[in-house]
Parts: sequence; C-alpha cells; structure tokens
Amino acid sequence: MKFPPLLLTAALLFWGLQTDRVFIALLLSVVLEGERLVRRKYDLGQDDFVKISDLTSLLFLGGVALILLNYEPLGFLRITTGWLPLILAPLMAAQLYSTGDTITIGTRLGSKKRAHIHKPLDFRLYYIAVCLFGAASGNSRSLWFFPLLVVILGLLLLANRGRAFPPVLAGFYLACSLSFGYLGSIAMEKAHGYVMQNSFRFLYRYYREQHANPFKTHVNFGDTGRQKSSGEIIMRVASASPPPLFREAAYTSFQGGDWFGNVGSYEFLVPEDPETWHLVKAPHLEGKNLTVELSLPKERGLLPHPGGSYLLSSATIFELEQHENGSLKVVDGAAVVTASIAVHPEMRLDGDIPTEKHLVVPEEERYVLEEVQKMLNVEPLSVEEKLAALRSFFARDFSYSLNLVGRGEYSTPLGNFLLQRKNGFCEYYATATALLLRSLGIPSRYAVGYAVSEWSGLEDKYLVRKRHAHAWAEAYVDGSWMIVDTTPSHWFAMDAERASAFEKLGDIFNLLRHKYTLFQIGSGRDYTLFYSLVIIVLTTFLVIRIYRRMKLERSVFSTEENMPRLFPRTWTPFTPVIDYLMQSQVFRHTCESFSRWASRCCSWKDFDEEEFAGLYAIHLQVRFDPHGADQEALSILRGGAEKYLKQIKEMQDEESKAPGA
Amino acid sequence: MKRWLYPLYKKTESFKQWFASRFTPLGKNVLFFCSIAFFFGLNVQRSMIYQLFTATVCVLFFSYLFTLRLTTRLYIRRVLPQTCIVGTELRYSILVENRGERAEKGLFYREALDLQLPEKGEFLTVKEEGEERRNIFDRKMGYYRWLWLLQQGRMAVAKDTFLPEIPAGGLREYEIRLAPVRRGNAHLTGGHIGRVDPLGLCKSQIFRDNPENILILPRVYEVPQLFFQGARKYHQGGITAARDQGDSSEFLSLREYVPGDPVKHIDWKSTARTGKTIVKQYRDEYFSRYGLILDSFTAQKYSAVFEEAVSLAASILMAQDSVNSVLDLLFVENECVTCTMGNGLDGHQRMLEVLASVNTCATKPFAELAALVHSHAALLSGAIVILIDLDEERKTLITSLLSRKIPTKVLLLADVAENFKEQCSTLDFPITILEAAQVEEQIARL
Repeated sequence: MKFPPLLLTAALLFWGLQTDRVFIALLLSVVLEGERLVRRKYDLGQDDFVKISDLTSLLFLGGVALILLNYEPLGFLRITTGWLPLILAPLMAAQLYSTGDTITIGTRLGSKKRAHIHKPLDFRLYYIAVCLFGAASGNSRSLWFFPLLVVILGLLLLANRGRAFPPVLAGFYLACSLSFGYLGSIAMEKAHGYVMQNSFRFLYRYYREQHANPFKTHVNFGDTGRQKSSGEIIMRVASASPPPLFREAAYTSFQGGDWFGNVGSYEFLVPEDPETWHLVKAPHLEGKNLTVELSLPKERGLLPHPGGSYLLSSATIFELEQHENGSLKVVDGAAVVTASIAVHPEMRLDGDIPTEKHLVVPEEERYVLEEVQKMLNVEPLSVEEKLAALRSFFARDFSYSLNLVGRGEYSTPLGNFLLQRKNGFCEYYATATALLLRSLGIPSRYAVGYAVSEWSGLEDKYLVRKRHAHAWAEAYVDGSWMIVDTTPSHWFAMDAERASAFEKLGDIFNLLRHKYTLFQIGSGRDYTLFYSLVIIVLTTFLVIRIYRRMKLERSVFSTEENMPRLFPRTWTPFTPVIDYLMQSQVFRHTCESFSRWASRCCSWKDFDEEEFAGLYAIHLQVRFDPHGADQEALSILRGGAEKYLKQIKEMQDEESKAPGA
Repeated sequence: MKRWLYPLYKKTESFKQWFASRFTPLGKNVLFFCSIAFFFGLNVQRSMIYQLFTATVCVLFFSYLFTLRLTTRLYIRRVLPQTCIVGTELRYSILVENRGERAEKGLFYREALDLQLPEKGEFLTVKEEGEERRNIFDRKMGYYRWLWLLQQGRMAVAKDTFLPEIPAGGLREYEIRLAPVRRGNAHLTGGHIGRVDPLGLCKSQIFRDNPENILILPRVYEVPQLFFQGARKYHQGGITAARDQGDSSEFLSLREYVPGDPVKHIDWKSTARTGKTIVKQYRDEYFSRYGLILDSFTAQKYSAVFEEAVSLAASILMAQDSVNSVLDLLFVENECVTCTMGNGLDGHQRMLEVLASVNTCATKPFAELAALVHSHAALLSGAIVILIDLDEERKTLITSLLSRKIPTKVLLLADVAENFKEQCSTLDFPITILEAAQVEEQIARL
C-alpha cells in the first residue's frame, strides 16, 4: 500500500478542523511528519512494540475514565472516537520512528510471561481512518467536510490505483464515484428525516413519558406495565417496617385510555427551615421516621412517599411543590435525593377532599360498568360492604398476567378485561376498581407509585426497582382516602420471576455508583477535576515507567540507514553496450551470468561468451576497483567494445529498415 | 456442535477465498471501514460518519463494477523444476504469450494451488496439536482446529507477481516465486491473471488451466557427519551393495577382533602369537553400512514432532558420505520400507523424495519396525535411530541393537525435552533429546 507524502498531516488537520483541535492536530502533524527530517531511527523489536501498545492501552483507559467523569455517558463513544487520533499517536509515532515498515500490536498486561501478539501491520491506514472517524464524530455540520474527505480519500486511492490506468482516467473515475457518494449522503439525510418523521407518532408517547414529562401530569394505560421489565433500582428506603405502597401521583379523570388530573394544582411549599417542610399543617401526631434515597437523574421529578406523610427533611431538596392530593414535586434537587419522612397513618391533608370529578364515569366505559354492577348486585349494601364485594369479585374470578396479546371482543380494553379476559396487571385492576367505585357512588381516584417489599441484606435497606411500579385505586370513605388495591397479591412475586440472572451483579455496580454519587453530593464539592488530575498523574507515571524500561533496553539508535547504496556512474567504453542490453526485455534467470544473458538478448553475428565475460569484468574493475584497470586491460576493453558496438549499430539499422518498424 | 459448524466453516473459507480474489488489501480495509461507518453512521444527526459511509460505499461499488469484465488472450507456460525444499523460496519462470491484438499492461499473475479443504471426518476426529490447552469455548467451536487443518493442507504460498507490459503478439519471460511450507506433492492447477481497478480497491481475475506437480522435499539442516568407533571398515564383502565397484583384496593391516567380524578373516598366526583374536584388514572398496531408522508411529495424522523427525532424517542422510558408506533408511508406513543410498546406488535426491512422501503410521504396531530392523541388523555397521516417543517397545529395540554390538545413536524428538528427561535418566544407553522447536540449534551439537 502506498501513502502519498503529507497524507497523515492532511488527515490530522482535517480532524483538527472538524473537532476544533487545530493546535493539537498541528502538534501531532509536526511530530509525525518530523520523521522525514530525522535521519536516524530507533531499532524497535517486537517487545518494544508490545510495550508501546500497553502504553497506548493505558492512555486509552485513562482517556475513557476522564471522559466518563467529565461527560454524559450517552456521548461516551462519540467523544472517545473524537480523541482517538491523540490517544493512538504513540503507536503511529513508534512505526514512523522505527526502522521497520510495520508495527506489532500486542499486550503483556495481565500476563507477565507471554504476550498476546497480532500479525505485524502497517498502522498508517488505520491511523488515517481513525482521523477520519474522529473528524466525523465532531459533527461540525460543515459544508467543507465532504470536499476535504474527498481530497484525503482521493490522494490515497490515486496513489494505489491500478497500474493499467493513467492518473487522469483514475481521477475521472474517482470524481464520478465520489459525486455519487455526495448524492448518497444527501439521500441518506432525506431518508433519515423521512423515517424520523413517520416514526414520530409511534415514538411520541415513549419520548413524552421518558423525557418530556418528568412530573407525570397524566399517565396512559400501560405505562406502569412497561416498567415491569426493568430491574433498575430507583429508590432505597431505610426503615424497619415501611408502609407497603409509596404513592407518586394520583389522577382524577379517565379519558380515552389516559388518566389526567395530576397537573395544575401544585403549589410552592414553604419550608419551615431550609431543610424541613411540613407536608401536613401542625399539630402532628408522633409517627415513625423513614429515609428515602431517590434517584433523580434530571434533578427534578416526583417524590414517592407513603400515605400519612406529614414532615419531610432533606438537605438535597432545594425546592418542593405539593399537589392538593398530596403528591410531591421536587422542582430542584440533587441527582440523588435523600429525604427523611415522618409518617403517621392518621395524618391527613386538609384540602384533599373529593370533588364531582371523582364520581365521573366516561361514557365509553359505561356499558361494561353497568354489566359488572348487575353481576355484583350491591346497590342496597353499605359502603364497606360494597368495598368488600368488589375485593371478593376480583379475588374470585381474576388472575394476574403481563402477557396480554390480541384484540378482544369489546371496544375498550377495560371491557375486554372485565368481561372477557379476566386477567391483566395492576393498571387494569386499578382503573376498573376506581371506575366501578364511581359507578357505585363512591368517590375514587387512580393512584400510581411503588411497592416497597424487597429487602436487601447487602445495603440493609428496602430496594425499589422500576418493575415494582404499581397502580391502585383510592376510595374516599369516612372522610379519608382509603387504598383499594384489588390486584392479586402475588403480582410482586410473579414480576420478580422475570428478573435477570445478572441482577444481583448489577446491584453491586449500582450500589458503588450510588455511593459515589452520595459522596459527591454529601461533600458538596465537585471532585471531577481532582479525579481527572489523579488519572492524568497515574497514567503519566505508568507511561514514564514503561518508557524508561524501554529506553534501558533500547537506548541505542540504529546506525543502519535504510538507504540504497549508490555508486557514481563511471563511464567506460563498454557502457553503451550495457546500456543497450539493459533496454532488452529478455528475462534474466536467477544465477544466470551477465555474458550468458547477453548472448540470449540479441541475435549477435559474432559473439564470444568468454571474451564478453572478460570485457564485462574489466568494465566492473574500472567502475569499482579503487586502483582501476591498467592500460593493457583498457585497450582490450576498447577493442572489444568497438566490436560489439559495431554489431549493435548493424542490428539497429536492420531494425529500422525492417517493414513496419 | 462441530458437526453443524463444519459446513459453516467450509462456506466461510470459500467466501474468504472469493473475497481475497476480488479485493485488494486496501479494498478489504476500505470495506471494513465502510461497515463500521454503516453501523455508527445511521443517525445522521449525531455525527457525520454517514458521509464517510456514502463516500466509501460508492467508491467500492464503482470499483467492483469496473472489475466485472476482464478479457485477455494470454497464454502461459510454466518452466518448473521437479523438486523444491520446504522453507526455501522457489524461483522459476513463466513464459507469457500475448495472442491478442492489443498490448496488455497492469496485469499480475498468481499461481493457483490445489487447496484441499479438511474432510468432515477429519475435522471431527483429528485434534489440533496443543488443543487441550485451549479454553472450552475454543475446543467446542473447533475454529482453531479448522484453521490448523487448513494450514496442514496448504503446501505452498503463492503471491501476486506484477507483469510488465506485454506487447501484442509478444512473448515474455517472468520470474515467479513460490514459498513451499510443507513437504509432499504440491499440485499447481493453473494460474490467475488479474488486474486492479482504477481506484485500486477491487480485482478482476481469470483462471488459466495449467496443471502441474512439484515435489516439496523436507527441510534440511546442517548436521555433522556421524560415524561410529570400531565400525566394520576395510573388510571385503561390502562391495555387494555397490554395483559398479571393482574388487580388491590388498592386505592393509591387522587389528583386534570386533564382534561381527567374519571368522574367515581371523589371522590365526597373529592370534596365537599375541594371545588375542586378531583379524586381517583389506584395502577394499568396502562401505560401512549404516541404518537410519525412522520412527513414524504416532496416532496423530499431522505431527510437528514427526515433521522435524523427517527433517532430521533428511539432514543426516544429506550429511553422510555417500562415496565411502551405504545408508539404509528403514521405516514403516502402510508397509515396511527399506531404501538404500550410497555409491552406485540411489543418491541423496531419491532418498529425499522418499522422505518427502512419508506419513505417520497409526494402523500398525511398533513391532513391525522392530522386526524390520532385526532382519537388517546383520548388515549394519551402525545405526541412527530417530524416535518420536519413548516406551518399552522402543527401549527394547535399542537394547537389542546394542546387545548385537551395533553402535547405535539414539535421537529422541520431543515437544518439550523436560517431559522425557526423568525417563531418560534411568536408561542404560545414551540418548539425545532434541526439542522440535529448536532442532536446528541442537542438531549442530550432535
């Protein structure tokens, strides 16, 4: 493979321009292209290359650690690619400054005795590719990107073009190909836009819930069910016996499969002191305390808490709002919120009373509710008896399942659940219960939150995972909201069966990360700079160690210069004969003497192989013997050369006279 | 699992061969970068890698398009020697005639070697050397075994040779290089004539049928000439092994009797005078007759140790004095084989040809070799035994040779010398252990 001069520099500058690292690119170019000016090179062996590979690996790992500390994990790959030309520069420099044309990539890390070594390779092409990918990852959206890319690719491809074709043809062909490449890139942009636009509808709900609606102003049917597949820990609860359900939000209106009502009524909660909030106005009954550690990656969101919470203390919540139904919204907080909550079951929020909305039943669900009402036949019973009948109705005929496939006979999911399938997950039960309660004249609402049941011996706390998300109904009975959870009680165990086999391992990593975040938040300082410096110092230390070891072993520059030995052209009377023979296209066999080959080259009229060999020997003597040849030998050479030149002239004359010459 | 993997590996190898025949090294790398760019460039808003993808995919597509058609009227004749040696680059020439009406340029030529892919049964049963040291995944998948078997079946490595311009109607001669990697009979099926496209990424290629065979002889090392003290020299009778030698019975000297000397050569007068048995020596064209016994008994079809043993045997016979001695090569393959080399008999070349084709023997017992050696023992002045293992049968053979007072040199080839050191220390005869990886260095000390 051929590399035109300054191609590396072009690729590096391209990378620098596209990623705003022109200074680094210039510096690297000077270092790498400087090898052309250096006349003596390092004689590096396989072991040296393995050490340099290890050094590069350390630089890479250090770089990765720095990127992880300083940037969002999402952009990790793109940012790492952007720095690769700098990270891999030692390998490239090793090849360019060594006497060889290739490098051997291997590692001795983790194994002192045997290195893992790959085949020798010319690293230049890979380095150029890394520069191009690094430049592309910069996402400069510059109009110059493609033209510059064309220049670099063109230089590389033209240098390696097929020998059967002239550069002009190859250039034309290349221009055509790359023009199509440019059109292709425009087409790809358009296609991407088209796909994005058309898939937007499908993705809209997902993005709305995951990224655009941290305060969950509404939930749609199936939101909670979707979380069931994830074992990610989102909350930790430290308490001897916490309440089983932590409510996150409550919803009033059901319309078209969505619950609404957790919006609009949030009010700023005035803290008693900078770290304490009264969730229920004093006086308070003496309850028990529990501590919640909630992960809030966006530093805002809803805070799940048990019913009866009346006092909240936290140093990591800076602004809090409260809904009239008691839901808490962290408007500004840390990435992990630690809150101490005092709970007493009899504490109630004064304003949390039902309205007319809590009795509204949507028209499209009325048919199913009336059908069930007939089946229950609970009109004459008291409120408590109606609740008991509802619970026994669901306990008797219904089962729990997350696998709901196919369309049912009825027009609404609720109809299919209550009248046909009779199995489903918590959202079905909660929605059906809430609406049935309303149809029986009991004010109700739909609540979502988490079940707190999984004890972790490792952390000495209750763990709340995403799959512990739960929905239930709340009924307003005797002046207070009562939880009516009709989902079969074994749902928690059934969901746990779907957990990954590696969940426990993941928990350990999650705990380490959680502790680090807590440490970061608790100290009130950003340690990123400190850790970055530690990584830089440690990596530099290791790099110096490896480099010193290398220098001890290979401190000697190679004195061998890979330059061909050139001799000045010394003219002898025999030189024209040799020049003529050199133009011949007759193949000279290995070990074939010059005189034997000369005899085959032309159709000599008078050729004496022995004489010719003698003349050639004198010719070489004149060229290379410091003492030269004596007069006698020179006169023999002159005579012989004249003889053969005369024959050559005759042959040339004949050739020129030949027909078609 | 290997049963299901075999067709996959076979197809993969065919694809690899096709891939290598259609793409230049630069083309392969560009295709690799193109694939990476495809995976990482799908999101055109996150990075500009998609532009890298479209640029590379277009140049590759147009390059490939260009190589779909290649027509030449070139005729090729090979000037090939009969034999070559493993590890020594073979140079020979080809004559290329352009019978077309236009000059051909930018072409390259590559020899097509008949590469036998491993058979299914072979893949399932033959174990790679050192396979037990691989991890369980590699052992179950058998990919390294497949690669190893492919390597065993590859006789020589051919590379592209650039052919300078050939004018219309012209005949040119070019030097071709071939690197033999395994001994045996290599079959050259023909030659590939190819041309690289204007962008240097893809190749067009046509095949010219031109079948020919070449025998690849085993590797030969520098070995000192081996001879044995007290050997039967200067006695009549050895001439029977040589067809073209004259007869001579000129008395040379007297010496003490050595077991094995013919009784008729005892000089009774001198014996009576000295009290020791004295025999007469004659200045005769008698040849010392040595036996070179090659142990080929191993269960493995391909064995690096056996390959080195063959090379060692070849090296020893090349170093022997074929004018003043006769060497019998004894081994067992499908049957017991004895070849004799010496003055007036077959030369080094013939013996090397025999060694080029010798294979391991897994179907016959070692006793067959022992019986062959015993039947020849009466003729031998000395023996060199090359073993690839050491067990009771082998020890018995050596002991029986020594008990017949035949000077015997025992060479044991091993993967790791340490494995046999303890066993050898208890033997009552000297044995030299050579490690297969360092034969060349260790053989010089013989």
